[in-house]
Amino acid sequence: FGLSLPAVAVLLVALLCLDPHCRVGSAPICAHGPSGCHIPSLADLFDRVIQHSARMHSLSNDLHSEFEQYFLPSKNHIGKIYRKCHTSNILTPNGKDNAQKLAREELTEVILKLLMAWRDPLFQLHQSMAHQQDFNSFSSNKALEMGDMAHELRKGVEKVAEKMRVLGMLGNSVTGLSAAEAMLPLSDSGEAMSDYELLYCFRRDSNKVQNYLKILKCRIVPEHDC
Amino acid sequence: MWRDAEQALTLIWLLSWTAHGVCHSPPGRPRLTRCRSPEKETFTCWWEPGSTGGLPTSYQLYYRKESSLEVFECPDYHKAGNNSCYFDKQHTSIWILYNITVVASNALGKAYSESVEVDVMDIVQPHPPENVNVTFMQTTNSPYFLVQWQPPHDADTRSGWVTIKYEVRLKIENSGDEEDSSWESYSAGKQLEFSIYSPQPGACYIVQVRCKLDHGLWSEWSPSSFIQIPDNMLDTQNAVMIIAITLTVIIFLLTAGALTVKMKPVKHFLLPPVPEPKISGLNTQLLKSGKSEEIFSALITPGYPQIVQSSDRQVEYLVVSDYDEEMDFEGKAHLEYQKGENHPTDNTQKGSQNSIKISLNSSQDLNTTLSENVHSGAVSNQLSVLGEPQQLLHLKCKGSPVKAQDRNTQMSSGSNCEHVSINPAGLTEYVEVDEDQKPLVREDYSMVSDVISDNILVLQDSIPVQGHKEVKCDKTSEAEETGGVFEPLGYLETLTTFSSES
Repeated sequence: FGLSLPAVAVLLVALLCLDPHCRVGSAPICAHGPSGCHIPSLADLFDRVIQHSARMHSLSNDLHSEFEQYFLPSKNHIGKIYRKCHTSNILTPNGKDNAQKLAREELTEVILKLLMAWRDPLFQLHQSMAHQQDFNSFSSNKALEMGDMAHELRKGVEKVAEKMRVLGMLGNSVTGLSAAEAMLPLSDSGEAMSDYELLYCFRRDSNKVQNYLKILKCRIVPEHDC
Repeated sequence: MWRDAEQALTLIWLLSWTAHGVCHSPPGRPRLTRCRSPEKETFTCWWEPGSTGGLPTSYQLYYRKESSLEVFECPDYHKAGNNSCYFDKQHTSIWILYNITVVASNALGKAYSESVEVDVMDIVQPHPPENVNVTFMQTTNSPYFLVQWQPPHDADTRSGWVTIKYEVRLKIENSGDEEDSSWESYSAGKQLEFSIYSPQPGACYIVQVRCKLDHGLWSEWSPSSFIQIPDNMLDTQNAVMIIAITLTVIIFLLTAGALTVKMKPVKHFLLPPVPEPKISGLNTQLLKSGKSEEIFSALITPGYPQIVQSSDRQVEYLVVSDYDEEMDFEGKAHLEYQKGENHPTDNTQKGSQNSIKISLNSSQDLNTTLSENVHSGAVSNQLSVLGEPQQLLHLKCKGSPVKAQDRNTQMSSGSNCEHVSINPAGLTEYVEVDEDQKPLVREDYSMVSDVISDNILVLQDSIPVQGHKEVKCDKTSEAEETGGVFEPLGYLETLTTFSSES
């Protein structure tokens, strides 16, 4: 209708730049509503998080058995466990009944505490494994991946908690987690824990996290697989 | 000798009696064989007793939990059978190491087994799946049999505490075969049924299922279930296939037979031969034989180009000129005949020339004058017609009229007559009349300047330059003359002998 192509292009660019939202930035795709965008439901989020935790536990299992195979040929040797894991201070339910008796908020908080407590130790573990020549690079990569997964899992669980809070399923009694951070993995005698001990403890804790998440899911969204 | 035997026997009897009665000893060390938790909520440990030492021995199991020094005794010795200890829910804690020891004690002493450290998380092994049944489903196209089962009753999946995964295996029972077929295993995930497609008809299958909790140990295989696949299952399919194959074979044979019998026509039908290029007159056989002369002579069509050969002919020129002064622009042309004179005209050139000037007053005049002046036998007439003759010029030529039509046309008479062509002036056209001419061309084509028609050759002797009115005549019989001597005229001029009748 009389406008040439360059003029139209200039107009378009001008319009776009006048729009205050036209900025280069990382905005979430679904920021402006659910139209045409699949927002994962709580059940989906739970599934994702549970899968993630299963994978993390499987990794820790592999690493632990590798370690046992090559470095500790004798199983059940007595001195191996009398060092506490650094997360033993965190009160965790030790059975199904105990876990079911816990409230949702507390269970969620326990999960988050556990994951938070392992952030630094996993990083340390990877560093020490990478430096030692005894481990092959495959193992140290697994350790790195494990650390990343724990980090991601924590983010995921926080998102789940937020979603639950939004949906009104969680009360506001979830306390801040700042107190649980930065727990250095020290044993009774004050020495840093060895790699093997760290692996052992993390394997156990990742199993706990997986179980707690499953219990939480079947309590909150029992439709699938429960 | 008898005495020795008696003594020996007595000694032996004494020794054996002593062994029984006297050799009591503390018990041997028992050994914990395994601990298992079927659902991650309770667990059981079994042990193996050592030697009893001849005395009644009792066994106790003591355990310690991780990070605590308190010792507990087994809560239930009987539920799980002999030499076992069952830990119920209250006494089971997951993710805690148990340090377990079994003590065998009798009257003479105690024996401690080796301590075993157990975390319930590591010893999870469920019971096998229950109620496995197999049914054969006969659908028309894809028969299969369906395996179904139930989870072990004590595993709690509803609360999400454990996740069960299943595995199915089957094999064909070969009764009588030495070689046993091997098991085929299939992972069934979390589902409670599984379909096996395309079973062997007539075979008897053995099917088993087992399960696993999370990352734990696989359960034992369930008791075998058997299924017999009926034999006649694929009859209809087989029949259809047999008929189809037979038909295909018959059709194939027929086609092959037809092809072999009628190879060529079919081949021509399917792949028509491409026509080869042919040149008329060119015989490929001749080419093959290799004689070039024959080939080229075949190529040359007879009668082209025509070479007129007559030795007695002389060339005469007939000049038809149109004087400017006397010009009658009605198209008259003057035919003048000159002979042996140097007739100066306005347009004539210098030099001796003999020319025939024909002034045409009318067409009829031309006819008559020409007929008068022209000897039939030895004239080569060259007419140069100036102006624009509107009329037809009829030239009689041996009695046969020669028509000159328009200015640009050329006339040709019959075969016996001269060829007269009249072209209006202004151009370098000229007229050449050939009759009885000398063999100007003795099969020498070097003088040919143009080929006008099928049987007319135009010979050139001088440089054509401009139109002219007059023709120069040369008495000499030479055909070749340089045109520069006479002024360029553009055509060959040869004046042959004239008859004396002029």
